[in-house]
Amino acid sequence: MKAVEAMNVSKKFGSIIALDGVTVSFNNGVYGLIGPNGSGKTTFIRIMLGLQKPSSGKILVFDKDPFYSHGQVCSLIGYLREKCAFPKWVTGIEYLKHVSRLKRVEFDKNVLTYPIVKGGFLTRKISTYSAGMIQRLGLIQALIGNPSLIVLDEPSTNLDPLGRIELIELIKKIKNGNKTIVVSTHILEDLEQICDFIIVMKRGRIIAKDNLEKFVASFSSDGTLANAYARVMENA
Amino acid sequence: MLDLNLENIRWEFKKLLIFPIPEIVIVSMIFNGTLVLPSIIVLSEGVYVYSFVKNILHSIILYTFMVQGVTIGVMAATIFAYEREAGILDTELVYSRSRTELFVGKFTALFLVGIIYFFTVVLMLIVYNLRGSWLIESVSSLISLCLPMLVQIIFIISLNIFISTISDKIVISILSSALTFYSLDNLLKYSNPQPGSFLYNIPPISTSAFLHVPTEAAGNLIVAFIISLCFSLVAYLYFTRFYEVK
Repeated sequence: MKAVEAMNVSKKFGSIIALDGVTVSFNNGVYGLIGPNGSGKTTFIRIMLGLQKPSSGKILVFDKDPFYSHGQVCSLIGYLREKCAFPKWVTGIEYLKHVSRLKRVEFDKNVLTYPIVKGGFLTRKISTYSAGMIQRLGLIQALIGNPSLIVLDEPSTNLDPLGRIELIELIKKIKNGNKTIVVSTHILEDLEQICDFIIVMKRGRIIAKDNLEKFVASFSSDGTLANAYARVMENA
Repeated sequence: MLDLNLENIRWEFKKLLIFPIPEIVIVSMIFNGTLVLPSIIVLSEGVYVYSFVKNILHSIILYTFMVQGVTIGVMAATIFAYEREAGILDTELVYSRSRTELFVGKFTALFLVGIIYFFTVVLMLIVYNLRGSWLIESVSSLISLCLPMLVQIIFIISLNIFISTISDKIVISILSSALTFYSLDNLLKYSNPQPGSFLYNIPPISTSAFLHVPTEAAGNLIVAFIISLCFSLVAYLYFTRFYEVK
């Protein structure tokens, strides 16, 4: 069973075509979703999570329609939203417990031991958090219930250099096992360290997909992902 | 069939309790005359300030139930439109078992807040009418007040949930709620036979409802209840089948 299988998925907002016939599947591993702004990455993620319906085509998450059969897959998903936001009148721990209750899973206190949330800020009200702390809370809530599919949309946003290092270590730690992790980001140096596969999107289409080593070997002149990405975008 | 998650209701209710309900109640009590503020504030002998604010506001719409309607409108806009606008709802939609569970949680929490308001208003009316003749004329009028007010609460919640579900901006949601509320209230006043202003002036209509013209008033209640159900049903269907985050 594939974690995600998208078949010719398109999405239109009025006359704007956000996704144009995307066909892709995700199995175990870390997938880096890259592309310029407005290339359709976030729209694809939202359709994958059942937050939007495709205009045409079909998408399955663990063999279920994420919009209409959401209840059967919700506990298997962890999601960090781009520009994540949380209710400000509760503490971080209260919010994490709320997520556990929503997903109907036991609240695992082990998530509080990850370096990315150390410092005791989770016991404070979210209204007192800095942007970086909110991002850290967002990352840790995506891991509640040990989900099989983790979707991280711009996970490095607002993180300081140490936070980025902790994020990479965190993903390296959780990627072992039967997990599918989808990371959408513009920071290619981070992806080089954690990704198994790369998917490049432009104007709502997938223009390249391969495993990281092959992708870099095929397109890069200096052995870096950034160079390979630039070459792909030039040729697209 | 009904996907009832008590924890979810508790969470939504907790959110709504951040609103300054006691302060809103006290302010509404002042402006509807239950608590009396002087129109003229005397600073010293022969020197006084005319309280424009109190006189202007007192002359417009500040009956308790209008305050209640606006407050619940803001609350509905917060837990639907604002959460959608801010992105808080995205995560809840991804993690919740069903959209019905989320909808029921929010609706029930709003209803509980409405009930709190209801008891507050009853208390205020008791205090208010200790000085007047309305309560003395008929003890049963207080009991007869309950049904119209409960229908009114359901009406306000349904209307506001409907508007805040289809709107993705909190400002638009609040303004639309207030405008629709005001328009419907005025339309009722001009209907034939004239029922008075159902949403506007609860004490007289509730008195007449069960003591003087029961058929007409009961009809008004049934119509208001049916309209409420329609608003709720459309909001529910939209939220569970068509609602997409932007």
